[in-house]
Amino acid sequence: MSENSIRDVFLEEAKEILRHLEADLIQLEENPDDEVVHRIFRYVHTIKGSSGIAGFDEVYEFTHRLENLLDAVRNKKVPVEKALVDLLLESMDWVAEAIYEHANAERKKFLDEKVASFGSFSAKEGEAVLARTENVQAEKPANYFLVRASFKPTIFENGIDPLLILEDLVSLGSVEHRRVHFDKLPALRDMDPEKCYLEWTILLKTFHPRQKLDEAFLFVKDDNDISIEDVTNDFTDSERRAGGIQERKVGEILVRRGVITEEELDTVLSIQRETNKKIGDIIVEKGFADEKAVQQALGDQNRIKSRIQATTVRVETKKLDTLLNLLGEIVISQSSIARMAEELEEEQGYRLKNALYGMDRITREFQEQIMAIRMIPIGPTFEQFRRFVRDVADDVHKEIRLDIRGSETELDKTVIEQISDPLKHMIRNAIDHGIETPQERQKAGKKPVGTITLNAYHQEGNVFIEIIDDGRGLDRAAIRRKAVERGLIKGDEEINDRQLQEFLFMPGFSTAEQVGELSGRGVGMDVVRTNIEALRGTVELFSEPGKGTTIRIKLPLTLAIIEGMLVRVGKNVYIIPLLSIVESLQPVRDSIKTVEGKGEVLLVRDEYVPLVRLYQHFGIDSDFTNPWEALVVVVESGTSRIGIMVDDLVGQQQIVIKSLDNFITKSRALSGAAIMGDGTVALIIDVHGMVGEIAT
Amino acid sequence: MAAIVLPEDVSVKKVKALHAELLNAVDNDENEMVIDFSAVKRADLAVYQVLLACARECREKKKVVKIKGASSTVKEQMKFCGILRSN
Repeated sequence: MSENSIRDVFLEEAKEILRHLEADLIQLEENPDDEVVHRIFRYVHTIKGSSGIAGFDEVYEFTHRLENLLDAVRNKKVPVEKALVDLLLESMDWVAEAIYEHANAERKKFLDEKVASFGSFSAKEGEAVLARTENVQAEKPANYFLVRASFKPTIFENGIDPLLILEDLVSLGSVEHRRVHFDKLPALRDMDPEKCYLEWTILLKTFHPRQKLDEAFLFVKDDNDISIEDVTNDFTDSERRAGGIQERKVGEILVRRGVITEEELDTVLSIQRETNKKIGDIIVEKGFADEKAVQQALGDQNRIKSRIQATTVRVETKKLDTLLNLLGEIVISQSSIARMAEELEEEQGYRLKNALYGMDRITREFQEQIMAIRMIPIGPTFEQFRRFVRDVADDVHKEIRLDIRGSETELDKTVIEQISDPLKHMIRNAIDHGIETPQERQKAGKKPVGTITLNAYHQEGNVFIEIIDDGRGLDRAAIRRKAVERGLIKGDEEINDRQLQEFLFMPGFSTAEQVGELSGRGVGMDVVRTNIEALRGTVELFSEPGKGTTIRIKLPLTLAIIEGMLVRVGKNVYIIPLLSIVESLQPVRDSIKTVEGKGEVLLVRDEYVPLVRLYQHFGIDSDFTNPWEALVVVVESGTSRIGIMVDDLVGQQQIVIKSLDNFITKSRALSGAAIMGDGTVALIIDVHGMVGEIAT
Repeated sequence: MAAIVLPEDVSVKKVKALHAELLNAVDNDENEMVIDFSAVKRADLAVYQVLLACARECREKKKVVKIKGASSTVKEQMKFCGILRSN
């Protein structure tokens, strides 16, 4: 490998490690767990080693010192406290700068001194500790064994205490999980106290080989039901090396560990099918396992996933886009052939159509597979906010915990890339306006630490992302005051939920009394909505005074393909995204009016909606000029509705979107194009953009 | 309050007596039971099994069971047998 390619590999690898490190450091602060400390140590150790090979000498030297400090943390010589996490985060920022930008010598000197003098720890001491431990256990992989022990009822008669055997067993390592099975224990008055009834399932982490475990059961294994299963592959990298790693579901992981039984998992799955709740939540609710065990399984599931990711090949998204475009071309050619088949004589046409049906099935499957490749979990996007929440909350002297749920929820890479900024803005708002200070919370009878929850889930072919805070909720009175001030409502008018949302998402609408560093300039929520609608999504807001606010974003699974309604105006075909359509109707003459300042409107279910004559809007010919002779498709964007007048509805179809360059049109009412089966181009209507154009 | 003091050498050998004593305590009218482990360094599974069954029955009868004077070894053993919750 050339020097450059070594460097490239390191640059790519370090990016990933630094991302994990940041998430782990935040986790360390929240939950100072030994496993997290070990993981952080290993990450820093990897960066140290790789940076040395890739020629980043300063990074090597600095991470070596950090490693010493972390080793002292690992050996409990330095306590895990906020100052330590601050220093480590700052240090990681410097490492990232040194790798990807330029090393700031002054800053490094400052951090070097801080690292060396941290607490009572001295760099020299660290060197010694490091030398002693580095070659011992740091890199030695542990073994994991699942032990099931069921003793015969008469075992006490032989003078054997099963408890003693099990205590011997667990002294060989650490118990990752233990479950006692009480099923066979009778009621107190029915039991024979000299009989053995309890059974165990134990997940043991140990550096000893299996043989040692067998020895613990040496005198009982023949006439008792003892099983020892090596499940190391579920936990370590060895299976990856063997190429046999498998992604597992949380339920499966818990069953494999003996935390829950297969019957319990079946019960949980049937409840999940009915309620759509998360497996982990159901398991805890039913009392099959505690939250800690579920969280541990989720953590392991993520680790397994990240190991799987490590075995995959990186492919540029551009290449996938090209692949998808090519597939789009195939679909178009297929439609052309289908049209030709219609024109052929009966038998030939029939045979060709049959062949096309088969091909259609394959192309659909092909399309689904490509779409699946583009789907990535939202977890890493959520995780990047841990640091953000921590730092921003510190700045405003609030205590806030970030709770992440549904990390495994997958959505299109393009959507994920574009959702990050709106999310950041909403989280910032929640920190600044939503969550109260610890004192305010205590006064309100709440815990001093506020919670912001990021939640993602799939439902009805869409992805939902929620930003939930348990803060003070929206100040309706202030919003109403502001709306009156801006002339949006009259002084005596009350506001309903729909208006409340509409106002909050208006440009420049802010109720903040002071413009702060964070938010309060009234710039943002309108941009958030625009960005989300550009992704063909919607955003809703729910709030309860004193209890908090939930912002729910609904997004399509992918941006590359839409379900569209084909409509015809004269000789032109347009596509309206199906998700935006409320209904289509043929209006009666009396339902159309012209309102001063609003133009032509159509009465639909007691509500006047602006009427857009598509032929006028785009300056084209049409079959009809009277709306009551034509059809109107009512569409919705946010809380606004408009009626689009068209000559006819052609039908609905899956559309592969082609982007339109700006030189073709500057109209906000068009978002792209699609090539139809006969080779003609149909333009896709951007409902949000069209509503915006009508409003202005 | 019913108080049961366990002997230092409580084990399967003395579990029948303990079983009877616990049954008595479960059936009496007291709504609280204290089991004193102060003298016990360690016990065996037979002891913890009767304790578990007793705790289960007390829960049904809405009686409170309190463990007194348990050493760290005994507490660990209780956790291992599912009598006390693991942290």
